[in-house]
Amino acid sequence: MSVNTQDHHTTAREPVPGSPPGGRARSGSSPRGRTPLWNWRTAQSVKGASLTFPFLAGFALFVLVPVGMALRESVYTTKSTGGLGFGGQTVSFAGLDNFAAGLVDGSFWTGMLRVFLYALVVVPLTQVLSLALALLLDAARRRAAARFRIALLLPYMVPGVVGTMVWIFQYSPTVGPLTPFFEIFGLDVNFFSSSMVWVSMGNLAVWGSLGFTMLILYGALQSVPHEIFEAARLDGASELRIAWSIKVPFVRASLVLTSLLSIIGTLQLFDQPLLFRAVTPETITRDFTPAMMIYDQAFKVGNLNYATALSVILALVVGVASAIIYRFINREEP
Amino acid sequence: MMRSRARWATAGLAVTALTGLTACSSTGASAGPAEAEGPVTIEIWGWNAETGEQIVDAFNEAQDDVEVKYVLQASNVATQTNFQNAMEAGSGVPCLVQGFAPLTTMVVNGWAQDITEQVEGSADLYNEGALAAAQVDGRYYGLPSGSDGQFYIVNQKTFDKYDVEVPTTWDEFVDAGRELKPHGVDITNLAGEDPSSLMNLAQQAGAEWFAIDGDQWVVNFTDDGTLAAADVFQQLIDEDLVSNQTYMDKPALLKYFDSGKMASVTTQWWSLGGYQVGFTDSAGDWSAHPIPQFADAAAPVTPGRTAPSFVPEGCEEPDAVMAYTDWLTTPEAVEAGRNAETGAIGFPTQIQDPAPYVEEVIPKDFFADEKAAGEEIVAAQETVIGKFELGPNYDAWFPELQDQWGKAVAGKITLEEAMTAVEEFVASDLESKGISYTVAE
Amino acid sequence: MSDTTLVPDAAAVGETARKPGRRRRRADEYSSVAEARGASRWVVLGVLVALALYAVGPLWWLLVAVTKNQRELYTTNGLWFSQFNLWQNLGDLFTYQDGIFSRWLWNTVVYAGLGSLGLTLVALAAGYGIAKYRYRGRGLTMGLIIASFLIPGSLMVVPSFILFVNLGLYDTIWAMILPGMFGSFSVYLAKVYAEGAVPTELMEAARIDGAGEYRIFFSMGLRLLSTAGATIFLLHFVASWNTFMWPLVFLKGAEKWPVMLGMYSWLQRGTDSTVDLTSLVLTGSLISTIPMVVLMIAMQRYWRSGVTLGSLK
Repeated sequence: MSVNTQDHHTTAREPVPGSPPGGRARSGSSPRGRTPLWNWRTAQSVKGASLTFPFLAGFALFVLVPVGMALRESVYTTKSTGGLGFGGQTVSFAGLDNFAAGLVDGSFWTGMLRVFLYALVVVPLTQVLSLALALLLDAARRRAAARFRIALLLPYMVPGVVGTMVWIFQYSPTVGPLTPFFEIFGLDVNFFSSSMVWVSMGNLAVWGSLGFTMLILYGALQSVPHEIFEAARLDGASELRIAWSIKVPFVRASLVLTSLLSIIGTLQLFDQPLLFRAVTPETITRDFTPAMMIYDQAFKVGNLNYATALSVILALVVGVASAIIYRFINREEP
Repeated sequence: MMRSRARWATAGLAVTALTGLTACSSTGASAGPAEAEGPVTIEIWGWNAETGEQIVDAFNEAQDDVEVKYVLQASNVATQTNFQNAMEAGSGVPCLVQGFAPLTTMVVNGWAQDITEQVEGSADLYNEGALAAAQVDGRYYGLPSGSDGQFYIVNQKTFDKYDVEVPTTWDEFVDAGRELKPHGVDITNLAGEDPSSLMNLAQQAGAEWFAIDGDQWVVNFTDDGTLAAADVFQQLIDEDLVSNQTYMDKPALLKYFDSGKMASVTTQWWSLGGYQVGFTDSAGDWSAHPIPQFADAAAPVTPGRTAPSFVPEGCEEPDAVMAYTDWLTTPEAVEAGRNAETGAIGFPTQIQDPAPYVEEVIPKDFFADEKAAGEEIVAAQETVIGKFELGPNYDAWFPELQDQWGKAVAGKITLEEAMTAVEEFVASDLESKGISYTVAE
Repeated sequence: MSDTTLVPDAAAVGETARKPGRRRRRADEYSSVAEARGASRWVVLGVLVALALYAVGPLWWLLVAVTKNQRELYTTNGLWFSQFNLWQNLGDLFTYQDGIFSRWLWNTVVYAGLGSLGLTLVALAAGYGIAKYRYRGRGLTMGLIIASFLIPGSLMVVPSFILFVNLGLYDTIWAMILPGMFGSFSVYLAKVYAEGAVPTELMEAARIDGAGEYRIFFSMGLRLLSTAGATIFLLHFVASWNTFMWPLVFLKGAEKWPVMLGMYSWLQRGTDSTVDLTSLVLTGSLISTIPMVVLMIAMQRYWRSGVTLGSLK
């Protein structure tokens, strides 16, 4: 995921109005003749561009301005005045001190490592399960598929608070149905114990996102031209082989995107650990994940300056990780 | 997955909801406006959805000097967020805010104004605990607010069955735990996420975590009182005499409390209703007792804290607020707070003599002897300490205390180690905030 | 950075948009051939049933839970019915606090509805503009959009609050509707759809007929992008239906709350006061989920063949 994305657009399959074939789009300066600085093509692209103005205006006001205000916070530091702290506060410029402190903050990076390891398991698991579901739906009878789609999407429509509450009742070792269920197989599972807490959180994450990711991958699958399957089938390829060799490569692009979104979400892990903090406080500390630590610094410790600096570092790490993974998945083009 | 980003945004505050599940304190009284020339209008922020508005309506009808408007907030956390934002923006600041955090926090942040003049004018309406709780460094920054005195309820049937005496001191409490253990009964429950049991016991033992000495804070999380409290819990944990059910899993918690496998639990008046609904088997088996004392205590003391309501800086009508607050002590106000659906009233713990109302807060068919239980609740209220200084940075160190308490309850570290760690955290946080302090030897 | 294009799905989207009826029929024919047969069909079905149970199981619990009173909720088997108390719970839900629940439901419909409509229009216009025109600053726009995916949510709360107070948006319904209208992910989606669904030849033809750019967008582009619009609308509608942190910060009084914030406040109440509203919260959760399920099913034709996201490029 990179910012200078426009360079690749010239590979688009259709000639683009206003841009010379194969060249970079540049309104107002055509390579053939720079004489008419304002020709009708230019007018066209300006009008086209103006379609994005409402969005850009709102985006600037509601996203860029707050981000700017936040960034400003990160280069200041706030101290109390008066010995007891009753005398108000002074704010002073601190340069990059907050960032420097963040870069060597042991608990912040320990938390970062934790969510990375967690993401290594949960992200592929969600993707693989969703992909399998999408392939299965694709292979099922239309009518059946329609029913299952609705059922599988239901968790997506359930608000996070409600889903969480419901799962707590399921996990409960005393009254929930899961513990007796696993006892049937001779397993003694306590979802509230320290050792199981990752599983309990992971399950909650997978449950909430499975249906939606499936829907995206299923969407990509639907657009695979079915003639290809027929040809393969006539050649005697098995269904599994068709799925693996033809269908999966076709949805790769979507898979990349869902994986990236999933990684971005997972690295910012917050609600689930906070929820399970009450259950296993000896494991899930207040700085368990980077996002929890940021929250603790901002709203508990009250150090908004430091919290903002940590958010920026987190955003950068997530960005770099996304870029690396994007390259990695895309290395082998089909 | 696409949702996770949007969800994360909601998570920020959303999920604090969940951490709030363990919060047991801060049911401060709702507050109000006061009198001045002509009708003065003031705004109150609180999260009393049941009766907040009807109390205010009754007040508005009872007099013509002050007009109160009640703005309902979603929760304790929501009130804090909204208030913090309003102060930050410097607009829309109300005149009275239900206490969402310890009073000193409000003072340090420059939120609460000094209302000593107003409070002293009507001090005789309130009990000592309520007045003590409203002070910081000898000045009134909060409105007198009742602290809910802790008592404890025991499953009398369980005690009788195994022929164990109900303990009156903490040493006896540990002994009773040892006697009950062979029968598979835990003496009480210590939730790993909720260090308030420790705070209560430390308060009872006379601990002083924060004290003001001239122009600096004296921090001491390992004083004799704290260590005495820690020692009681350490024995319970080491000998495995307690359970660690979480408050998050309410059905399991209630089922376990109800099973007869837990002999006692410390509590306060407002928890009784919930227990009554959840206890199907053990209803009628319970009795209320004074909370066990430390053997060397000169006179019985009852732990109990509160987060008083306060008047924000910038409010120009503190007199109106005081008039409203004073009115809350009247029988009409208590009656106005009656919940139309359940018929329950709020127990006015801030007034000199709440005894006439106690009968109303005792749930039916819960105690073996309701009258005796009522007397215990009133008695607890008479000896409640009220004040426990939590310093200028409570919000910062409380999560750390939670972490350390959780580890100690799980047996990973000792409570003394835990308290030392909290003390170190407090010191470094005060340091970074530029607040003067010393750590007591 | 290599380019994973989505030529096939984009083409399909375009076709769906133009001739939904025909394409569906065709797909049906194909899939009847593509379907698994015999034993493998039962395996497919078996696995699907298992996963569907996983998805729906916890909701079954919710369905059972709302038929119980508080005491039974805590003391009886969660997966089966006890005394049937649903009507009582529903009655309580709609009368509690003077029936404020209906008010919250209505607020939510207004916020989610208007916000999603606005967002859909803004995002379609922007996505169409980015996809179909070449101009200076286009790359920068895409860069901003993608970079904004990375912004941690908590970063925005406090500055947004100060901003809203200054703009006079604080504690108005516009605080619920306006900020949500500029979601960058929706623009990204719209751009991906527009690349596939709006053929440049058609635009050229319209130009030759003398239509202006704006007219082309409103009369042709919007129509071709109806699938994309429906998807964007649905996604945002679900998200804003479920949100409660934003309103918690930006709305003051309970009269203006949306339903999830109301549920949250009831849930919180149980933990620090005398009342435990868990039963009401569960009933309210179920009731407030129903409109969304109905909407999803009603708009099924727009997402039945899945949601197409395309790729990052």
